[in-house]
Amino acid sequence: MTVSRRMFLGGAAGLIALPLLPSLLPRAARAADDAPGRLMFMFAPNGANMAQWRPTGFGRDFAFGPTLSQLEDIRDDVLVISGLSNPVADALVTGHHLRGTSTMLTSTHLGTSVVSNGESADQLAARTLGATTPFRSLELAVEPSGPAIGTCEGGLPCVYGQHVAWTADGVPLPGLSGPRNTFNLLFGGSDALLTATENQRRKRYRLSVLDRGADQATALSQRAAVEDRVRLDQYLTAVRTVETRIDALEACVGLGAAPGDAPLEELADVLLDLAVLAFQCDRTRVVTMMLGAATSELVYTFLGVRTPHHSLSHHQRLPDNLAKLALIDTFQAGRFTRLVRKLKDVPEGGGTMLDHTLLMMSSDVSDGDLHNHDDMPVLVAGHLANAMGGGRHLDGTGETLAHLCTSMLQAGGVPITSFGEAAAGPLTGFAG
Amino acid sequence: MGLRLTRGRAQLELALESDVVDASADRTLYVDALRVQGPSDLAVRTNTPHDRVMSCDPELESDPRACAQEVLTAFAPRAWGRPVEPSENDRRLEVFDMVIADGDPPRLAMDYALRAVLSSPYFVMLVAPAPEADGRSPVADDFTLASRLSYLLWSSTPDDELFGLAERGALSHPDVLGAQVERMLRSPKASALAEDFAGQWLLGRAVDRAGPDSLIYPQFNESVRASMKESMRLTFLDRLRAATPVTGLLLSTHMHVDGALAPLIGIDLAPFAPFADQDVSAAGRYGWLSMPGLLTVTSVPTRTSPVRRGAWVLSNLMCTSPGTPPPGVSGFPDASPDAATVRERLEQHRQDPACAACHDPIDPLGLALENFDGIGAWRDQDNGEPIDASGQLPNGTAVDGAADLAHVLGSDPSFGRCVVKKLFTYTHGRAPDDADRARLNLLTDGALAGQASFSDILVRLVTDDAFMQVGVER
Repeated sequence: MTVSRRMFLGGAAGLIALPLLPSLLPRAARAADDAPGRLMFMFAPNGANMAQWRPTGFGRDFAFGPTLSQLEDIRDDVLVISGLSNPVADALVTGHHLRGTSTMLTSTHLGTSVVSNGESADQLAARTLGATTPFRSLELAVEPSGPAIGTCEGGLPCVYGQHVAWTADGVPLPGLSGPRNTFNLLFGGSDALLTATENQRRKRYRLSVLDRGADQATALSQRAAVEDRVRLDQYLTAVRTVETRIDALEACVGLGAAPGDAPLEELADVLLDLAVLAFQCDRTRVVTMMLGAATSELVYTFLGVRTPHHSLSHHQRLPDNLAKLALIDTFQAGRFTRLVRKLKDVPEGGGTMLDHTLLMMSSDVSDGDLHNHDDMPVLVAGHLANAMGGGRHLDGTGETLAHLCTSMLQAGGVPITSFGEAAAGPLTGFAG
Repeated sequence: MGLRLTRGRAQLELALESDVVDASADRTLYVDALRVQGPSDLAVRTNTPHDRVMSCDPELESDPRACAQEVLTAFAPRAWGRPVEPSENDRRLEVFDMVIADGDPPRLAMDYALRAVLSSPYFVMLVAPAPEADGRSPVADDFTLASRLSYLLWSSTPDDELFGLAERGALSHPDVLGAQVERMLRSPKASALAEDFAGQWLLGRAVDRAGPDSLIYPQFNESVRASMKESMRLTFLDRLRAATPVTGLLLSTHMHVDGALAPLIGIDLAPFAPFADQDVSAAGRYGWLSMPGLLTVTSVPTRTSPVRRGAWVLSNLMCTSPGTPPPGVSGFPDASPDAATVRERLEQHRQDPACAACHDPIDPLGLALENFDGIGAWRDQDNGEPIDASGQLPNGTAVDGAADLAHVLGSDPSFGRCVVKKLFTYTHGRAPDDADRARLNLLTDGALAGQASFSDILVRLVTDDAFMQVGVER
């Protein structure tokens, strides 16, 4: 069955008509009340026109502002939070964009002379949720991670601006930005043209190939210097990861051809559709998506905006700039909105996929001119574990993004009581 | 009937040598068909990577396993950069055997055996043998050296000559190393230095991410972008191989230009003219600072950015940090009747002492390039007003325009020192630290800095202990 790009972009018919889907899911995930929980974290760069973003009124009786009015008909699935801060990104020196990006999901102070960060929420989640899936986590990015060399804003290493996902070892995880590569990585393991037994044999050959490499690495490791053992360990970990993937490639075979390149106006959606498909096929249960890198200068010509995004976010309070910025904000929030609708459209285990997912979106700064990190723009959606009380505008003043991460991680079943450098507990009022 | 033909055109003729048998009859030849079949038992050798590796085809051989062994025996040492024990090859052959035993075709078996070679840590990583208890084993070190050298200059595995030298233990002699560097720089494979080293240092790779506004710069398109990149690659290769000092990078009046790039440069070429080395001095172009690719990457989509250009020159050609902006800096002011040109809009940098501290070293460098617009084309006006490309550096030197700037930078010893530092960083995969200071000083010693060519610097780097003794405890 071929899947055309049009189908990928979906439409009213939900994600893709995959009639065999329930039987393609791994057995463990098929029981009605046993659908796996998933977490998604989205990053939209350069803050927002907060005046148009912010809803009015708190609690259930709130009114959306212009930017988020697109969420009106699904307001019960969504929680808008105002007033949350990200204090670790604050600095008397510059580097607000880079700091805000890298710490959005880590809430840990960054190293300045060496690259160092805390473990991001998604990676912490992956330890629990990624234990049985072929991919511990999936990182996606509209702007490909450029060469992470040299220094950028504020003399900080450029690498801080390109990654929200950071492992416990301090390794930043680059996002995939090519639809074809992402598809092939997630689903290209088995050849649709081969029979099941042929595919089985290929699996054995691949595992055998990996075996030999692992043997050599183990032997090397025994007489290697300490710092070399780290490198060999990384190699062995990579081998084991690939082995797990090869082993697990039962579900969702024969999905057909990979989607082609997409222009900017469609790219985020194509990638997010692949993420949803990855969920359906249980390739992963943790996804991060960057709609742009820090200080993204993407030009949204299709919105009628010709000024690069970051430059525009330095609006200097000029009405024309603010209006154009709101257009971009609406577009970015629109990707989130579309994703929520998509998840809601796919039936799963007695409800929908949205019932088993929790997703959030935020940014590196609040106002792009002020570079402030209090009153961050934050959206949450999904009913995983019924942890989040939707249909409200929550006042999060006094609490931080770390508090939100704690609540999300707990909803995902991660056994923690706090998150981040300051050990923030769950977010007050998250459940309603 | 069998025929041996050499490569090329051959004319085949079918004829009766004599059409007379006897006086009573003559023979006439009627040709119904002429069929040429073949080649028979011809080994078609092309130079594709596949054919270089597959010296035999296991599908066609009577003993597929022997063919597999032949291929692996030749390939594994090349992939791993060292001699390979028969027992190691046996382990890869076991994969071959497994596939055959399952009934899959020999070519597939060969595929997986080769994968086993390429997924080995010995291919994925550069593995230097640990020193023996009694000290170094010079032959083994030569293999490591060969790999380091070929991955440095070619981003690829050692060739026959390097491998042969390593096998004879002859590579680590400084004269031999020097000669090899010269040879390797002349090889087409040295393009790797243009793509990987210059691609990063001189922003060749960044051209792909540039996004000039299509309404302001309609002449920019994907074809121009591709030509910008290729021009940077070819031009850098020339500078790399030149026997002249590295200052040629800044001062050369030659650039590789094709038909797509010519209008931007300001010279006359036919629209689809291929790349050729051109003298571009008449067009006011001197060296790397006048490369359209560089000038595009250091601009923003809608205009030039003297600050970006100046900061880039300062940090990448002078190895001086430009400093960071203080908090609360507002964005770039819009054009106004009082401040029409980019230069005028940067006026605050000069008037406000808090800004001037950093911008005095930065802005004049970028402003000197203002005659090159956001995609590197020459212009005499900005927003209707004449370009003023003059300025004064903090040390008092006056600069006016790109040619001036190139000469000022070229005569500054910091440039030569910076080039050495960049090459060192690329060679060793790390920035030089305190322990390297003495080493670096030797390399950049006074006269040498201004007079050394790229090749000179590379030879010194490669014959230095730090390069040659990898694999031994420092």
